[in-house]
Amino acid sequence: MTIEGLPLLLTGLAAVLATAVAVAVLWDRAGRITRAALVAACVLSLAATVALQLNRLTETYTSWAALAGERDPAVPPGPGPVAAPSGPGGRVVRLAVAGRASGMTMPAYVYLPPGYQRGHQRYPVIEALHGFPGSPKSWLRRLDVRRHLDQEIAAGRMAPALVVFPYQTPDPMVDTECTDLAGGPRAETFLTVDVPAAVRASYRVRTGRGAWGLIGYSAGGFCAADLLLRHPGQYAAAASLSGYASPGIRVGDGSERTTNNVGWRLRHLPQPPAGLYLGYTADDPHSRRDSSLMAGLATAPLAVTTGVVAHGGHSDAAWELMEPAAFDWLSSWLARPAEAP
Amino acid sequence: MTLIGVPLILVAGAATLTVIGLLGWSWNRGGRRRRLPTRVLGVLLGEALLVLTIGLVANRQELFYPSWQALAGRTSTTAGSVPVAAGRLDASLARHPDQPWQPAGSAAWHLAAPPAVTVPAAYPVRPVAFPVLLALGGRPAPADLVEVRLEPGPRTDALAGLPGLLAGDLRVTSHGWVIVAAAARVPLAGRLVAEFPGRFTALAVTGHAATPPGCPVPVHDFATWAAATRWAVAQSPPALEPARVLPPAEPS
Repeated sequence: MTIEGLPLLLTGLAAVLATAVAVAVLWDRAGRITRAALVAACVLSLAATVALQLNRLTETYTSWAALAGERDPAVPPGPGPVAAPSGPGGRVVRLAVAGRASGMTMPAYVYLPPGYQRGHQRYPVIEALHGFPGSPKSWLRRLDVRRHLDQEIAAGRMAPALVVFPYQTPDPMVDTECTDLAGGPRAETFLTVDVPAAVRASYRVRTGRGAWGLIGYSAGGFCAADLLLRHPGQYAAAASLSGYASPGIRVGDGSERTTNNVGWRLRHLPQPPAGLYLGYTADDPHSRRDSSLMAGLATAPLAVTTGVVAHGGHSDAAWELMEPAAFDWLSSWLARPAEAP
Repeated sequence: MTLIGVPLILVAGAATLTVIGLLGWSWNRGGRRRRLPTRVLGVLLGEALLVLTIGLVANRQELFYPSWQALAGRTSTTAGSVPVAAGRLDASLARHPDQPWQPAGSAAWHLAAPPAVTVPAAYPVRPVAFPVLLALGGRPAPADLVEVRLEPGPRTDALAGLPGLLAGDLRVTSHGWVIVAAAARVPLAGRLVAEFPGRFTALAVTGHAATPPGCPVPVHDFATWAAATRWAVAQSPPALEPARVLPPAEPS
């Protein structure tokens, strides 16, 4: 049974029901110790079932191995097999990223656009970052990203692109905010050195900064804006969906108040020639305030575009609505697919 | 009652406590036949209300769903698309895809020859905005962009208002433009790029030239106009269908 499957959740609910019945039936005959055990079983089954459902909602632990702390069991570095085309749309494949620079060896998922298999072109690349808690599976399952990409590309509103969905932390309970934590995981190095290197080595992609972009929601929105400003030589544009101006964690070197703080960077450092999309919902006060702050601080040559959803809070529904607009916008800021030189 | 308000949390909390209290009160009352279903229902209801109350508190704290509407996934917003306004020269360009372009104000540019535009074959049939290739002092290779050719003269030191004038006359994008220039025209190109930040994405040069000071786009050198054009075109986005757009933020 998979950790995220419906069967396990139903099993959990059955356990909640069974323990309630057991308490009711056995209580009168039970001694003190048995009664305590019955109550404990009730509480445990309820807590476990709630935890299972929360994990389903956030896609934090996507397998039993991940829960057990295994990183990426027995997957050789490099691209996973690409199945034969099953339909007109793009396909999602798995890429094992060797953490040569960061020491983080983690898998990533890669969306290959329609036509990738048959063509010879090199494609622009978008790195898509998830929220916290979360995982690349949040993009793939909860935000249905493949369907949205297929639709935008088929409609000609977006140029075919590779979209890469990396993990941002080796431990689902450690929030890196895509930074190099002092004495901890080096997520920034993983995302800006190891992931691009693995993508370039494994797929036909364009290499210049003009063809590379970032997108992320929630914590991933902070990541996208922060990495754009920190690595303008590598990325031409970034889209932050319900993102923040500061990481909200301690990086360990104080940089959450300075060089890993988008607000601080916009105030104190020269702004790069790049595009920044800020999508947010009007009823999500934190990201609305931070997005307005970033939009207000941005000056040429940094170009800001905003997109506001009226209701939706900090939720999948809002991000699904923002996705097509943000990908279309990103595509207009990135270099086209091109024949290899 | 709002989803994130204290009243709802109080009601849920009170209901939880009431059910737990009633469960304790009724635990040993009645015969065994009545006791069992009451106990099972009471335990399950108490558990459900407890989880609900904790969920409401967490949601009030984190504002995942600030309203019943957000909880239901009703965003009250649709991503629309903005149709591209026709250019003043569209009809004429459908007949003559390669023609002189002399907008009012171009006299101030002091060009050595009248400017000219060439539109790609797709221009008359696809009602979308096209990125622009601006050629300064030479003839670029044919490309699928809107091509604008300018021959600067000795007194040409600025191309005031060029992007706006072009956007009125042709269907062109607001960014993703590229420049291909003769080396001698690089200072002029640099001023243009700096004057319109965000509009130009690449600057290709035939011959050798350094990136002018203040120009945010680096210069790339090429031996021929064909090579410079090929590279510059590859740096631009393709002509895309009108993007899905969300309402922009109100200016603060």
